[in-house]
Amino acid sequence: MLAVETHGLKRVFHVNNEKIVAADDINLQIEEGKIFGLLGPNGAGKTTIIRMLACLLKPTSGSAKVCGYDITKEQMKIRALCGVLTENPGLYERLNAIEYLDFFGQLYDMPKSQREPKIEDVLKMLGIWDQKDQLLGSFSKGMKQKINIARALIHGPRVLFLDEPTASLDPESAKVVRDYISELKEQEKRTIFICTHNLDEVEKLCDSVAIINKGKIIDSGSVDELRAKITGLRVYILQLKQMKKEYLDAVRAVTGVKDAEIRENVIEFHTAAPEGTNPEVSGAIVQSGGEIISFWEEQKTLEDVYLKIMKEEEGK
Amino acid sequence: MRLEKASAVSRKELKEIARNKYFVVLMGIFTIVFPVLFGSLHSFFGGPQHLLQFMFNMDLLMLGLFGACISGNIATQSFTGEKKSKTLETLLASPISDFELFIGKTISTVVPGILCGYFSIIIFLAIVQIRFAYHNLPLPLNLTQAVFIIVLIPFLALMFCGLMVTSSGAFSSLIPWKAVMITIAMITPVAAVLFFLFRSVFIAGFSLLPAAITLIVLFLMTLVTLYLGARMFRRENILVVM
Repeated sequence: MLAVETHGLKRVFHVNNEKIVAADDINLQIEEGKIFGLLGPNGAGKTTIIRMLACLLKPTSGSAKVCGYDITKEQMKIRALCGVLTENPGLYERLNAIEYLDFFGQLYDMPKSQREPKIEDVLKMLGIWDQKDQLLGSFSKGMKQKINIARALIHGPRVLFLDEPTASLDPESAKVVRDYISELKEQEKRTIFICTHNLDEVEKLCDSVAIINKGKIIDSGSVDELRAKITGLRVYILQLKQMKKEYLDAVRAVTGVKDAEIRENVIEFHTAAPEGTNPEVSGAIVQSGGEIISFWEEQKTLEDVYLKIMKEEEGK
Repeated sequence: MRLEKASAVSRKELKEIARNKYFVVLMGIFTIVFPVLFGSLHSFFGGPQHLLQFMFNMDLLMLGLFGACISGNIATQSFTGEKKSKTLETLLASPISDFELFIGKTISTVVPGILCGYFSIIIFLAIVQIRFAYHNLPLPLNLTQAVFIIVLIPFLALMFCGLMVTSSGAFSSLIPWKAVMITIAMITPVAAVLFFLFRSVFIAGFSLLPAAITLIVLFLMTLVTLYLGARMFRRENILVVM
């Protein structure tokens, strides 16, 4: 079942007689229990998409469903099933952590018997249980972000929209949040929609990714699919005990090997069919007297993929 | 509408108001300092009976208006201030309707104003009573006058709240103090109408008919301002212009 699906979703703002298309022809399909990452530069339209899916803004045109409910007709049902962490949200600074979470628990129709243990669980998980009685105004930036995450999770949402969830968190807290997000997906089959600039986070967490620029999705797929799209051929590295020109010639002679070259004491080559090519490459090296220390595939990071796609987009 | 949700919003707002030093001081001044001051002035200054009666009526009305001002001030912080502090988006993402939110916030805005208005009048009457009792005079407060004041204060508080919400809805991107300035500009003509109405009540010596007409007009003005406030309070508008 699809947790989120959009068809031609569009949102136009009119600011000072100027028409700004914040999101244009957005088509997304996110399966239930998956983590989806939306990547893009500032002002690309990520927050607008989250706001439309969380029923905070109406689309100008197009349609979308969240948990099977229409975002323009069944807003209350969607709001009840979703948790939203917007970018830089404020807090009621004169309430303490328990009062704040209890207030939102009431808005999500949680009975008191459920609210109390859930608040304790979430605050303990995020490591701020000891500060439960402090007013939120006295919290540090990171603690405020944790409270906001706790608020988004308090009612056990089926779909979680997170806009920069680990921004302003220290590395240790960011890891706690990332681990919890993974746990929500693995154990509770929650669907999570993340907007972030943290490419490492997307690579670690997301099942699928879309890259957005100037309101349009310019590419999408799994991290591996995107990687394959930009690299085309896969890149392999051979580290040898001793480097000789004849070893390079032996590699070049293997069918299917392309662009083989010596680079910083290793041989790098490209191939489209590693299953057939790589055993032959190993054999050719050994036959020509070379000794292989290691042989691995060079992984392009999501950052490489993202930057290449954005560069291509800017060049259009 | 779910009353539980509106009630949760009201309780949360009241908790915040009670912890806000600015509001506590403001309510203290309007509820204690002004009635004590007004009541004491009555004790110091003598004069013809009709002048004392006029001052007494004016003071009652002023104290009622002060209570309404408190409601207006809280409404500005509650509606516009929440946009500025970026807490409203989180609230609007939860399953609460615009109307539940509006009702919840309106109750929490109006209740402190009404309570302050009533308390300030009780304090004022107590001080004036001491002075009048000393001179062996009856308190110049008849039943119509008492009912008029009791009904007037909630109407004024609701009306000021509606005006504030309308101004903050119409000028959503403004910071609170600018909304206050605009609201003052909106309140001035309303206040002129109020004084015109009160004048007729004064001249008639708080007799039943003019008092009843005034309250009916006030009731209609309150409904209009609240309706405008509710119309202006829209999720879409709030988020787009924030």
